[in-house]
Amino acid sequence: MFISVLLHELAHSIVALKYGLKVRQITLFIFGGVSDIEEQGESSKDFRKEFKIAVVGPITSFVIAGILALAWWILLLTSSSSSAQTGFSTTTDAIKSIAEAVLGYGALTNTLLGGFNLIPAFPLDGGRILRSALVRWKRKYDQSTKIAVRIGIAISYGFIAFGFITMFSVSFVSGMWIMFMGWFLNSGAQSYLSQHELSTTLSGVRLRDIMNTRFISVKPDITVNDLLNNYFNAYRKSEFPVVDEKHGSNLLGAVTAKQAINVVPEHNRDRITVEEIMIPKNKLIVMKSNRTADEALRKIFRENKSRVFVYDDNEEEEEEKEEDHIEKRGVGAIGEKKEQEKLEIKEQERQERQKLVGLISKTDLLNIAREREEYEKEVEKVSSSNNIEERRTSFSSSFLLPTHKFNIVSRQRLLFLVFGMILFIIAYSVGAILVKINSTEAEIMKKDFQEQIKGVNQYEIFINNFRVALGMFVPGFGIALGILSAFSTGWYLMLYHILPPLYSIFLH
Amino acid sequence: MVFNAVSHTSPIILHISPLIVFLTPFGILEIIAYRIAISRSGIISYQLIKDSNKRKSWQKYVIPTIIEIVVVLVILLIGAIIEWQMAQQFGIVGN
Repeated sequence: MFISVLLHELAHSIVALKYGLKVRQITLFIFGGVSDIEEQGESSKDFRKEFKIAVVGPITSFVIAGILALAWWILLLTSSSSSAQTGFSTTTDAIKSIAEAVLGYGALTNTLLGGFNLIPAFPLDGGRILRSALVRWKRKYDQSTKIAVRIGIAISYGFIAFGFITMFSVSFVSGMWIMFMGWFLNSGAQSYLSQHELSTTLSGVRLRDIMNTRFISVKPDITVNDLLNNYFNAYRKSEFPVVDEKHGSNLLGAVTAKQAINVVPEHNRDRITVEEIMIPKNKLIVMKSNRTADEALRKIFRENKSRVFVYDDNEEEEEEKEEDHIEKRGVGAIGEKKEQEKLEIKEQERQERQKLVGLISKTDLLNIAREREEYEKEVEKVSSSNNIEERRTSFSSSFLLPTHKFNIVSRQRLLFLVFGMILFIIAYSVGAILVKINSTEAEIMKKDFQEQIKGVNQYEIFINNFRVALGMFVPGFGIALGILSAFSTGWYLMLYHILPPLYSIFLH
Repeated sequence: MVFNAVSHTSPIILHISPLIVFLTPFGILEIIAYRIAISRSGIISYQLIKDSNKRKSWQKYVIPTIIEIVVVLVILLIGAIIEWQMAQQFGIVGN
């Protein structure tokens, strides 16, 4: 199973690498695997690339399933012919039957893996295929992602409802398993949606506009004792950037309270300097001030860090211009190596000259995202209430529109009611008209039904109906129950419809 | 149940489409009650999918649902009484 999943994920990764996308890692877990492919920049938003990367996984699984099934079939043919010839079983037969079982199981597992991944529910491959199709159709990546994820969430609720019904009607364990799969899909889709929304909210925000410019930094040459007494104890912060003030506030690294206290023994704190214990710059998240906040948040989550150190990009731009100039000038074959060395030295110098201009923490980024989301919601609310006001003045049927806080008789409510009614009529009609049963079956079921309703009174009718109605209020499951109950009502009434009239008199 | 009762007293009903249940007073009430419940289930599912801030807006789901449960309860109670009365008129249940 793990080999199948690994091959499936490897196929995704190979195609992604072919398109120049970074593949950080492949994680295998109980339900399958995940290829951590970089979702950054416009290239990852190309629907053709996404489609090819997504579809190659299920195709690989199906191809493996096909090969294994073919091998299983050949083995089955040879073993049946050989046993027919010899007439007794040998050790070879035993090995063959084990091989048959392994191949059969492999073929089945890979078919299921490919099939399951084609379910159009994010974050499965089917969800990504659906998104690429929607992007092709709608040309809007953000909108398509939201639609695809919501379809995935709806499917996950379907799984949960189906699992719930299976649990009580077919098999408790199978039902639980299906519900668990539904929950897995649901949590995957929900977390993808929230990440996507967060990323969309922060995508236009530059770090220079939100960074905290009033930060306290420490010098590299102060002792750990100084650091603890004059910084950590005084400002009560968990981390300080280490800055070389002699060379224009260049960032050297960062030092945490945990390091200062745990790593350095008390008797050495007067001797050891910050420079010796600090986290070097290359292990921190250091970003240019013109980078976006969503990029910063992605890095924070990926590298499991708490903040981003922002450096000035003015010097960088100048450097870049200089680099471009060198490139435009062109270099000969002999001078190429020297130029390369020069560039490397310049890169090193540039990194050393990164002037720290601000800090931004994960909490800051999340708060900004929340504020922006709230602002967008407010704007949406104001614009929708303006629309309602406009509609109220133009239509006399204002009772349809929300007039109070909880919005019981809203346009949306009526729409759902009509939709529910249509769904009921369809399910009822399918049960009453389309499902055919013979008169013997109908007679047995009718007798059974009459036994059930014998001796019932109005309270029992009410309790039974109310119990069914309560089940219909359950999100997701209620719709399934409604369809089932409409179908069975139609079906039961059909029993009377198909029995000959005279026969029903004898039943009395 | 009423359909069962009517089928005993007037077998002619067996030649009529079972969709006739939509036209009985209790049938209409029951259908309305069930539709309210199903559509509320649909609305909550839709809001759960759409609303990213569920914890803050739980009132938006719970209060209308409670109101509608009470409405459904009343409708079904009236429907059950009518159904019982009709079934007794056609005289087969309850014994």
